[in-house]
Amino acid sequence: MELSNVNKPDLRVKLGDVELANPVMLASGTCGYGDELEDYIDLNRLGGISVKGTTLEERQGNPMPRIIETYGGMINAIGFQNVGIERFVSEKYPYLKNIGARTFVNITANSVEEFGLLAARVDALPEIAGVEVNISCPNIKKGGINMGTDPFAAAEVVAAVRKATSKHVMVKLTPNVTDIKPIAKACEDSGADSISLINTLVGMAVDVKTRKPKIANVIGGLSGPAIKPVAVRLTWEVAKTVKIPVVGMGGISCLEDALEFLIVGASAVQVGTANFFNPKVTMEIIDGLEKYMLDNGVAKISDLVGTLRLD
Amino acid sequence: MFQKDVPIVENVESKPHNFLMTFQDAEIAAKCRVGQFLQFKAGGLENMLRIPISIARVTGDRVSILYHVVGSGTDVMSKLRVGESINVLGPLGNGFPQDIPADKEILFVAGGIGFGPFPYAMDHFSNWKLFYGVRNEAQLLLQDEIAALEKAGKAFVATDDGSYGTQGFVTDLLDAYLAKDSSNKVIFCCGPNPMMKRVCEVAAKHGVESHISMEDYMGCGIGICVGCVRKIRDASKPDGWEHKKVCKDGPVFKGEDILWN
Ligand SMILES: Cc1cc2nc3c(=O)[nH]c(=O)nc-3n(C[C@H](O)[C@H](O)[C@H](O)COP(=O)(O)OP(=O)(O)OC[C@H]3O[C@@H](n4cnc5c(N)ncnc54)[C@H](O)[C@@H]3O)c2cc1C
Ligand SMILES: Cc1cc2nc3c(=O)[nH]c(=O)nc-3n(C[C@H](O)[C@H](O)[C@H](O)COP(=O)(O)O)c2cc1C
Ligand code: FES
Repeated sequence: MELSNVNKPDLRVKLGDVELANPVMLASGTCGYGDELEDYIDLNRLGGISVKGTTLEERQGNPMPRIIETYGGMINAIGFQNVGIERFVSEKYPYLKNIGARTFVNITANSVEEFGLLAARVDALPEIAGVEVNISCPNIKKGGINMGTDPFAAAEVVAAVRKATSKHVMVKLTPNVTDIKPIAKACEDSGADSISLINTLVGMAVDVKTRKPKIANVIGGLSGPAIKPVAVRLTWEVAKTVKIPVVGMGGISCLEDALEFLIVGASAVQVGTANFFNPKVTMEIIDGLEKYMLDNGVAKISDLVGTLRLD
Repeated sequence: MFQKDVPIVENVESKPHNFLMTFQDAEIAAKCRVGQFLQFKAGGLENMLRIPISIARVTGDRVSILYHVVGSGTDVMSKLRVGESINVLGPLGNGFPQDIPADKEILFVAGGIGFGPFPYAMDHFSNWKLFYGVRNEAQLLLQDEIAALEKAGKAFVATDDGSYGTQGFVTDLLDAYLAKDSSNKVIFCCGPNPMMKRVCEVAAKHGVESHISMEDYMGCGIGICVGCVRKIRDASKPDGWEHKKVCKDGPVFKGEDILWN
């Protein structure tokens, strides 16, 4: 890291062809379609936003209860309640195309073909930066195997999306695998422009009085500060494995958390669960990054990325 | 809406495990509407998510809440002292309808801690009656005020054990009241689920419109987690209902639109 006199630190980040004003993004499923947060944050100051997981058809999601707090985190099984891609285009896109943050449409599907159709639909929206492909879903046509846990299945999805759009293709990985490296590599080799991680860890919580699971779906995704060490480790492993940019997330709730991910090799970060209890958190992190760079003489944010010292 | 630290000016245990907290903030006070709620941050990682509590009263630049200590978050809140501050998000949610004609009588139906939003409603509207059900006298909040209202014929109290007012369900008091005259009335209700469901049945029986305030477990309170939904009737949807967010589309829904199951 070069120490220099920095007046106005450069927070800009390049993810392939997409430039973000800074490395801070909102994570999918934790920020709606952006508008819900406009009372608390300036969406023009954000680097990017990944909207709620969008499916071909509108979905009503899982029965209640679908969230429960656990120590330092929460488990959710929302079940992808979302308006579907057509209502996204007609109702949400008009708002999103006018915000400064670069928008990624997080797409979710139960077959390779559906992923292709969703990507093609997003391709027609000029102000969208790209898709974030949530590959950790079951492939219904292939006996329900999770497309994000197998390198071949993951490659198939990424190739189909790549064919369907010339926009940025960010592929979001699940942490629920024994070795994430071959999956990341398979995504890179099939045409991904960047990798984001981690999605939630599969978890479970039980009410000991009733002996029932605390959420109706029995199991769900664990997120929040509790998962951060796992997420930092996986981000580090993937950043060493692929050449394309990596977007890190999992439990980020303050500046220090974001810095950890950048230092292990993430070019940008996403903030999820922390928005639920501190809607202003992304603004605090952006302000904090600027100050950190000034205080430490870091001219460009990229000077920080992947600077983990193992000596 | 606002997210800020506000100074606590009062935090007293008015009944066992039941607290009245008041904080001072002109901006939040000016924005509140009857039936809205606030999200409180109490503690750190052991209470990561915020705690939704109804706005119980607004007096000038002071906002009060009534809360029952049921778990770790409300326990932290109960230990805060005057002069300390608490982080508040809000006001949130749609609240009760504001545009009730003056000649229409509003029947406030409260169960247990569901009494929360009603002192504010009592201050705001003039043509109303209060039906208030609690387990026993120890749970009856603002007891002196309620007793005065009972004398004036404006409030009716039911307890499960008969330790105060009429023994039995408050919904039976409501039913009997509507049986005498159900014309030009509207119901505002907040309480436990079985009670609210029964209120909807009583309202339907007498052809009275009802507005029900839901108090579901919440993740964010601002519409971004989609963890707080209820099935609400919508004929345009394939199944005839839609999962609506209690925090953002509610917490108040029309009784006839709620699917109870
Ligand atoms: C819109 C709204 C308005 C509310 N207004 C009031 C109010 O005015 N006064 C008041 O005392 N409470 C109110 N509540 C309920 C209050 O939010 C919960 O009691 C509180 O969050 C419990 O937090 P805790 O950390 O103390 O308990 P926890 O440790 O989180 O939980 C303790 C126990 O309470 C249960 N619980 C937690 N939250 C709820 C809930 N929302 N509904 C039913 N059971 C729950 C848990 O399952 C558990 O069994 C309101 C809730 C909502 C959604
Ligand atoms: C309530 C909730 C809903 C989520 N929905 C989605 C989704 O639709 N698509 C997706 O790719 N990730 C989804 N996620 C995962 C987050 O984007 C993120 O990967 C994960 O929560 C880890 O980050 P965090 O600890 O900062 O929340 C969701 C997470 C939560 C808590
Ligand atoms: S509590 Fe998060 S959407 Fe309602």
